Amino acid sequence: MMEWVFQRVYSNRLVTPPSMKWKTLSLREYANVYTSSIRDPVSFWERQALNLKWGRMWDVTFSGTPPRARWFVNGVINAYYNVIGRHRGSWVWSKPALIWEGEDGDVRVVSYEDLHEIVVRISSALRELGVKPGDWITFYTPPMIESTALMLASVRLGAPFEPVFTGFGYGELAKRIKARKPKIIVSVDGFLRRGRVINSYTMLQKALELAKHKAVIVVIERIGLTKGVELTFSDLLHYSGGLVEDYEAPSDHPLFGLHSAYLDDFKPITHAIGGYLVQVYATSRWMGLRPHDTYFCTVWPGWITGVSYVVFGPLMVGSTVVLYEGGPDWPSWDRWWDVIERYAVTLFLTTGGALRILSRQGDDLVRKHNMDTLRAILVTAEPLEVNVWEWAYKVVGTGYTPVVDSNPEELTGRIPVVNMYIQSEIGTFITGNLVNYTFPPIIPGSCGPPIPGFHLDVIDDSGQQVRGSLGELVLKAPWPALPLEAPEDFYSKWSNGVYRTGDYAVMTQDNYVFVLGRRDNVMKVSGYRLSPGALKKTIMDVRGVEEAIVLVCPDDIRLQAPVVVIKGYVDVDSIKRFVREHLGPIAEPREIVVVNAITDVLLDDMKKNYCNPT
Amino acid sequence: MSSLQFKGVRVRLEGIAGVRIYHGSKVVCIDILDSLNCDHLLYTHHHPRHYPGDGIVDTLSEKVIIISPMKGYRVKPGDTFKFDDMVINVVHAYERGAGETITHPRGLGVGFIVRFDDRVTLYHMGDTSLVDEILALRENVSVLFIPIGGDGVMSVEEAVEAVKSLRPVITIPMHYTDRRSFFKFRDMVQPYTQIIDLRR
Repeated sequence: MMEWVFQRVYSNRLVTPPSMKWKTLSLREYANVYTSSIRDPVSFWERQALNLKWGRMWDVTFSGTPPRARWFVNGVINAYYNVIGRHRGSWVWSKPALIWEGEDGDVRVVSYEDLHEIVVRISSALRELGVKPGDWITFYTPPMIESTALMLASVRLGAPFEPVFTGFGYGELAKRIKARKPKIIVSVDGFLRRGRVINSYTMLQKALELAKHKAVIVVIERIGLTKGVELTFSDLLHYSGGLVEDYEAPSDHPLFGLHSAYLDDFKPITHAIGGYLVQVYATSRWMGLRPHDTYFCTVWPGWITGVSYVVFGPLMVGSTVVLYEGGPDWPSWDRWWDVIERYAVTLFLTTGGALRILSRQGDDLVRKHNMDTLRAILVTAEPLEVNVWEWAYKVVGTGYTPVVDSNPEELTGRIPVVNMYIQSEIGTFITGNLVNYTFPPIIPGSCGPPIPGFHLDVIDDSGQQVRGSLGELVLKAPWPALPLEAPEDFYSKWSNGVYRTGDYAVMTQDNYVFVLGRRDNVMKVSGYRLSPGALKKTIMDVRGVEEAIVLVCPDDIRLQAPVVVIKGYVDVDSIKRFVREHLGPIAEPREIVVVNAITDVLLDDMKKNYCNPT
Repeated sequence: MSSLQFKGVRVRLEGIAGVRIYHGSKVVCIDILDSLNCDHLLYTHHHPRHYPGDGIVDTLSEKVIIISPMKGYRVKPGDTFKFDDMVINVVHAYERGAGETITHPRGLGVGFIVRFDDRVTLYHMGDTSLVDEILALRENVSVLFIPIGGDGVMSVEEAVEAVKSLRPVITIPMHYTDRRSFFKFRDMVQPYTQIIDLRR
């Protein structure tokens, strides 16, 4: 599998995009900045922390032994102020904060001031409903203005939140509800996806039944299916509660959480306010965001990229964020290009998996759109093949107006296409060419070099540094967004102050990182990190299944896809249907083979037949 | 075409420069040829792509309030109207120059600034060049409807200057037929406003 990925992502070509010609650092310049940053990461991040406003400065910048260590000890911080309130009184206050487009084409815009007004009103309502600092709020919605405002209201109240990806089914939602025991659950009466109504509210009802948990349910009205709903978002707006002050919290107060995939299941991790906001604000600015930018991220909150780079980072910077409700292929495969064209999007963030699929839909669908406002295309979540990078660089990124020495007629490329590495446990991007900071030449297929402040290395099984050959990507120094809470699986990946990410990688002599996929058999399906154990448990719940083995196989479109061998007497279609509803459509096995007995010989045959790379 | 909702109003483009504005239960229509469901009809001038003609306007219900330089409340720049929570300011709109090349001489047409609840201000510029009176405006414009097509209205370059001067929160280009005009305009004003293309 690693060899299969490596052949697709490896290149040694250095590319300087025309738009970055005068800003590109030499490898030596980059190395100087980076080396200096990791010589004393604590001081480095301490300087970054000064870019936030603190209610009380910390006594000690870093204390303890990682991973059970704390940053900015005894610091007190108003998280909401640092995300939204900071813009009051500046020109950003009146500019659009969020542009929402429904799949049916309707557009809604709120300015920073409008968003703040909404947040103030609904945070009063949430307080009236009994929400106190430390209470959890769970979200099961697509990206919406209302859900973003409610997340910010949670932040304002000191109530941590967990957004659950709506691509997960009721079983996974129930798991997250059980884990967090939320006081409030926010859902939507339905939304549009590929022209169909997705009834997320019904899914929530099933999840609640399974979780046996009682919470106040707030339903955002989207498609008018609120009959029988007790409390809507509009109701919250009309609460007449008193004004609530922003919550000033200790630096290590919980801010939000996600469930991250491990071998045997999805498990909760929680990030704390102080270190996380320091890290996300710094990396958001470095990766290219400015107040003047209009930014479109196709990753939904529910994944770490969607939380860090939709809810927090861009709003802290003061950029305008485009939220799009639907799929990339509705009514045709050029919908995202259309969004970029019509809103003058300047920064576009998407996944390698999405680009892989889009690259197969024909160049005409891209070239019929003018996306000359784009300054950069950022890519996340999974290895990006060289040919997909080339396609994005040339077909999407060249545009029609020459910049420096770009030539639109020859599709020479014009703007950077930057692949970056992120992990829920780390909280933000930690590698990648930074449009607003350290930008050495791009090596297509790589995730770029490490971002300053993150001490990355690739080591072999004996812990020795390796260059140019396969090893595991590790962090050799703690980062500010160390999880506040994490499963034992996370803590067990630490030894002697080194964190093993669980990802295979090759690092070049110049520190460029080629991430090749998981070494622990956790799946990356279309960029989604999925637990094979969770899939197995789901299948084992189906009557008639005696045993199930999940094979993680290479896949041309999704990079990896599950293939399942089942011993028992079951109908394959019903298994697929159960997986779609219970775990989610993103985890549906590519193949299911039902056998009378599972033997090693059979599994070897299965791997040869179904998991052979093409 | 798509609709946009911002600060309690919803707007939709129609035709070359027509705008429907929905606020509460009222519909304000500017340069709309099909007056169906309009409570207030505002016309910037009498050219056929903006005005359906006297023959049609004369037959409209008396309940419909008409504001224009030629019918209903006959207005000129500087006039102000107040209807409940809506205030309409009439502003200059004309082409700079002289002679037969001018299709919108001074005195022919107007622009409208429509304000609701002192909360949201929409500015429909009408068919105009970038004239001094526009540069002198000191409005906080929430949504600007701006002609960019040249040929009797602002060229792209003039329209860019207008945006730089007015600094609207949102800018919706109109009155153009060549898509390249939109792209050029969009690329030049992007840092100064949020462009939204509603012609989808």
